[in-house]
Amino acid sequence: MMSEEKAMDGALAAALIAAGIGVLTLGVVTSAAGAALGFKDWLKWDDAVGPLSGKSSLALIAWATSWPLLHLALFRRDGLLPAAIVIGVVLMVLGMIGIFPPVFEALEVD
Amino acid sequence: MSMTDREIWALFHGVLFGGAFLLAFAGGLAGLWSFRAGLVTPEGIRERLRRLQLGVWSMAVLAWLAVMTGTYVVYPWYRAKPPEGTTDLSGFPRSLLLSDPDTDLWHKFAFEWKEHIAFVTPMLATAVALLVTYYGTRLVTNDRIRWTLMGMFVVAFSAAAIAGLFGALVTKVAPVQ
Repeated sequence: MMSEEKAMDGALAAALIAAGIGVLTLGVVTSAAGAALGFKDWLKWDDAVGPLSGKSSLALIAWATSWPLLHLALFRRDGLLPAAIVIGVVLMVLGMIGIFPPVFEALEVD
Repeated sequence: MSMTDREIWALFHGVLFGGAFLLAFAGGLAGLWSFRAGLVTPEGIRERLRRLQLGVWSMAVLAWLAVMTGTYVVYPWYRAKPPEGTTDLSGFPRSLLLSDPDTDLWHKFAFEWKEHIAFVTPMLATAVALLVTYYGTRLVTNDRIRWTLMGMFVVAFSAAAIAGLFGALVTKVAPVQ
């Protein structure tokens, strides 16, 4: 049976923005870890893995907590997709800049 | 012919999990692209949806397996610090790369980028899998949603491709063994 039902785009908007929040968090935390040695040490949630354990965990926590909250707020709404694409892409691009090595290495303190 | 435990784990991480994700991408993208009115009969939609869901969920699981085995199993061997006075650094890939100005960018650029960008893939692959399940047959008649999912899928693949390419190149220069 083909569904002709119009689908609300709020759920997709929520997922897009949440992914952007996750990537942005990874970028911000990665750059901040280079700029603040104390923060970098704090990010060693797993000794063998080092700061990557804290950076990735914080990003995944931000993504996994923001997504259901955004979903509950937006899933019944429609017409959000254009704005969500802009917001999601901007957040992801900013996050990608933060995890690009020449950027976060330029912020590193010796 | 033999392989160490570390080489076997690296094989699982890079080839079986990461490689399978990359190989499955074309199938997943084709499945999403063709899941639209005009290309599927009403009878075929249910069958195609089950196949599409199986495909995108398998890819999400592969992405998580690749990233988690890479981060928590293989990466600690890569970044292990050699004991004081060690002259043979072949068992310590990160230190080996950083010991030579001709190879240090393999770590400082290639590996550093790989280890971070890899985390983009499971987030987006999981989002695509959950949204394909959530929207189900409604995807057939909602092109904007379907195209946006394809965009997310392409970004997930691109991040995995960068991580996979640099992982393979770094492994060639300084393997975990």
